[in-house]
Amino acid sequence: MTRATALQIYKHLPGKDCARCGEKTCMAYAMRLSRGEKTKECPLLAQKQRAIIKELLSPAVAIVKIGSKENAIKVGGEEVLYRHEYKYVNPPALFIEISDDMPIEEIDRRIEFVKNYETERLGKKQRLDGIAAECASGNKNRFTETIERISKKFNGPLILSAELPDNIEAGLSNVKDIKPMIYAASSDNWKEMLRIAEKYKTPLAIRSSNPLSLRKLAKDISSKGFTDLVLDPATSDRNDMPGIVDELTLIRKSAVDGIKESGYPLIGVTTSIYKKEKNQDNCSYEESLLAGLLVCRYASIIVMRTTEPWALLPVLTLRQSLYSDPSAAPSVEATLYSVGTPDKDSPLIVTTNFALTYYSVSNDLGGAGISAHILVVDTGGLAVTVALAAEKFTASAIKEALAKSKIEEKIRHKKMIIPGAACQLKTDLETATGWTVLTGPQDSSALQAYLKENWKT
Amino acid sequence: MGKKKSSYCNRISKVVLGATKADGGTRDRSHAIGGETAPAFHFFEGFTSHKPVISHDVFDIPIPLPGHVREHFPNVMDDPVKWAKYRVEKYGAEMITLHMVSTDPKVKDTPIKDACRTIEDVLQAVKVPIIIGGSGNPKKDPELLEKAAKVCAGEKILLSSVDANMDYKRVARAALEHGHSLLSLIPMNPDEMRRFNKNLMRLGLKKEQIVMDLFTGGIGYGIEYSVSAMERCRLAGLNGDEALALPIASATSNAWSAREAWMKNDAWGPRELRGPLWEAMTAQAALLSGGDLFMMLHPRAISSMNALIDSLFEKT
Ligand code: B12
Ligand code: SF4
Repeated sequence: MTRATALQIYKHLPGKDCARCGEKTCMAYAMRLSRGEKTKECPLLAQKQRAIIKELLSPAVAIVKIGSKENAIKVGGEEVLYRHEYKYVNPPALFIEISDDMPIEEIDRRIEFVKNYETERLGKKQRLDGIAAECASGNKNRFTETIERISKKFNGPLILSAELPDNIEAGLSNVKDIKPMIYAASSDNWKEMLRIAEKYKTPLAIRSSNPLSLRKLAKDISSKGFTDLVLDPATSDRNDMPGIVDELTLIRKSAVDGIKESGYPLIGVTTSIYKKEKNQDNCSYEESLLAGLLVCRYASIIVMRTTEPWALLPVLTLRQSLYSDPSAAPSVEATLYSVGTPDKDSPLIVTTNFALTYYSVSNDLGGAGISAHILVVDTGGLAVTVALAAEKFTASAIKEALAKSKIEEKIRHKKMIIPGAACQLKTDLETATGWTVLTGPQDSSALQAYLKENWKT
Repeated sequence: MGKKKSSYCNRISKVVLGATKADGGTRDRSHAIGGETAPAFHFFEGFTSHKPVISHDVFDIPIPLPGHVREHFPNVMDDPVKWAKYRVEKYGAEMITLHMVSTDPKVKDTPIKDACRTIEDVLQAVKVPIIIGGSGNPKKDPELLEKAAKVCAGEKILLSSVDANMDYKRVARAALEHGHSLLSLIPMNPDEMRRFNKNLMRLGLKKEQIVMDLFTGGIGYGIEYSVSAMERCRLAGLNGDEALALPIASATSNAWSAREAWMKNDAWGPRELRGPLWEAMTAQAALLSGGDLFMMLHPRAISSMNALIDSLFEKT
C-alpha cells in the first residue's frame, strides 16, 4: 500500500473535533498521522478503527530489525516502486560473508575489515552493516566455533546461514541475545526454521527460486502470526537474469499494490560468481555490478563476499544516491568555514552550498594539509556548474556572501579564488567588490598544486 | 514471459539507426531501438523491447583521458579514422559516435569544411551505423550538424545533440531533408523535455526520428536525478504522452567526470578496475531505468554492459 492520505485516515476517526489528541480537529490529527509524525492517541477510537488506521499507516514493505538494541539495523519500510513518487526509505544493508571453511587468519581479517572499512561522502560515513556467517562446512561444531569467534570481536548485526535447522540452532547458542537473522527457510525445512525463529525471536529469511513457492511460504508463515520475514527469490543460484530482475520487481510492485505476502524486505546474495570464475578481480568486479543491480531493484539486504574497496565503493555510492530524498538537494549552510588552522594570510576559497561541492572542496584541502577559509555562497544547494547555468552563482551573490561573512576581520589580503568553471565571473566580480579575483583549477583536487604555484600574499 | 499482454496503453516509438544498401545507405547493418511496451524489464507487465545498443566513443582530436583508458587505444587516438576502425575491429563496436570536439572555437575552431572531411573519412572507413556529435558549442553546432547531415545523406545517422539554447530548427530541417534522427538533450527535466520534443514534432520530425537524452550523471554525480528523470519520462510515454514515448539515450561516458573513476587514491583501490566499473555501474543503472542507446568509452565497461544486455534479453 502506498502512503495513506489524510482523507483516507480521516474517514475512520470519530469526527468529534474534541482536541483530546492534542490537535484542534480530527482532520489536523489525520494530517499529522499521514505525514508519519508522532502524536498522542485519540482516546475515542474504537478497537476496530484503531486496527484499520494502524494498517493504513504501516508501510508497503514491513520494517524488519536485525541485531540487538544499540547495534540493530532497520531494513524495509519502503512505500513506492519509483523514488520520484516519494522516496526510498531505508538504504540496503550490506553484509560481508564469512564462511566457516575459510582459514582462521582470513576470518579474522574479514572481521576487522567489516569493523574498520569506512569511506566518507557528503559528510556522512559510509560503512558496511554486518557479517553473514555461512556454514559451508556442513559441520555443526565448525560453524558454531566460527560464530563464536566472530561474536567475540564483532557486535554488529549478523546473519546465520545454513541449510540444516540443526546447524542454525547450534550456531545461535552463542549469539541468541543479539538477534541475528536466520537464513534461510525453504519449502522443505520451514517448519523447523520457524520454530527456531520463534523461540529465539529472530528475523527469518525465506528462500525459493520458484516464485509461487516463495509466495506460498510467505503466506503460510505469516498466517501463523510470524511477520519478521525477509524474502529471497534465490538470486544466488539462478542463472536467468530476466527471471531475477522480473521477480524482484514483481514482488515490490505487488507489495506496493497492497499484497501482504509480498510486503517484506528483499535480500540478494551475490557470492555465486565465485563458483564460475577463478580470477578474484573478475569476481569482485562482477559481484559489484550484481550488487548494484540489486540496489536498483529494491533489495533491502545484500550479502557480498568481496572486500575490495574499489568494488564496494560504487555500491555504497549508488546506494547513498538512490536513497537520497528526491525533494531536497543535500546542502550545507551558506556561511564562512575553515579547514585546518587558517590565519590572516591564508587563501580564501569561494564555492557553492551543494553538499557534494562543499565536501569535495573541503576534503581536498583538508586531505592536502592546507589551511584555508572557505566562503560558501547560497546557490540553493546547486553545484558550481549547475548554479552557473541557473544564474545562482553570480558576482552579486558572491559579493553579498562576502559582506555577510565579515571576512575582513580574519584576513589581511583582498584576494579570493573562484572555481575554474566560474571564470566568466572574474571581471564582474572584481568590479563589484574591488577584490583581486584568481581563477582556480576546474577541479578542486588540483588546488594543492595550484596554491603552491599561485598563492603569495 | 514477454508474451504477456502489456498493462500500458502506449508503446515507445521505434527508431532505426543506420541504413543498409537496401535502404539506400552503405552500412552493413542497422539497429532498431525502442519499441518498449512496459517499463524496463517488467516482464510481468508484458515488457518487450528492441535490444539496446552501445555506441563506442571516438573523438576527432586527442582529449585528456586517464592513462589507464588511453592504454586501450595505442597509437590510434590522434586519428579518428584509425580509432574508429580499431573500435570496430578490436572491440567489435556495433556503432560509433564521432565527437567533433575540435570544432569548438575555444578548442581548435576546426573549420566545418575540414570537420566534414573527417566525417566522410570515418563513414568510409567503418560500415557500422554512426552518431555525429557536436562540440557542445551552441553557435557552431547547428552549422556543423546541418553539414554533417548532408555529408551523411541517406545513412540514417543520429545527430547529437540539439537543445533549446541553439538554432535547433536548422538541424531539424537538415535531419528531415536527409532522413536522419535527432538526439534531443534536456538535462534531467521531463517537463522541459516534453515541451522541446513537441517543438521538434511541430517542425515535422516523426517520433521515429527522435531519441531523448536526459543526461546521465555518473554514480555519485547525479545518477539519482538521471534515474528519476528517465523513469518519469518512460512512464509518461507508456501512459500515452507521445512527446515522451521515445527511446532514451545515455551518454554514459559522463561517469568519468566522477573523480572516483579516474583519480589515484590508494584507499579507493586500483583505478584500472575502479574506472571501468564506475562506467559499467552507471550504464547498468541507466539500462534499468529505460536506456536504449549507450554512448560509452571504456572497452571493459562496454563488454560487461553487452554481457548484461545479452543475459537480460535471453529467452527464458
Ligand atoms: C546533478 C546535476 C544537476 C542537478 C542539480 C544537482 C545540484 N544540487 O546541483 C539538477 C537535475 C537539478 C540539474 C539541473 C540543471 N542542470 Co545540471 N547537471 C548536473 C550534473 C550531472 C552534475 C553536477 C554535479 O553534481 N557536479 C559535482 C560537483 C561537486 O561539481 P562542482 O560543484 O562543479 O564542483 C567541482 C568543481 O567546480 C571544483 N570546485 C568547486 N568549488 C571550487 C572552488 C574553487 C576555488 C576551485 C578552484 C574549484 C572548485 O571542484 C569540485 C569538485 O570537482 C552536471 C554534469 C556534470 N557532470 O558536471 C549537469 C550540468 C551542470 N547541468 C547543466 C544544466 C544545463 C542544467 C539545467 C539548466 C538544465 C535545465 N534545462 O533545467 C538545470 C539548472 C538548474 C536549475 N535551474 O535549477 C549543464 C550545464 C551546461 C552549462 N555549462 O551551461 C551540465 C554541465 C550538464 C550538461 N552537459 O548539459 N543539474
Ligand atoms: S481526539 Fe479523536 S475525536 Fe478528538 S479531535 Fe482528536 S482525533 Fe478527533
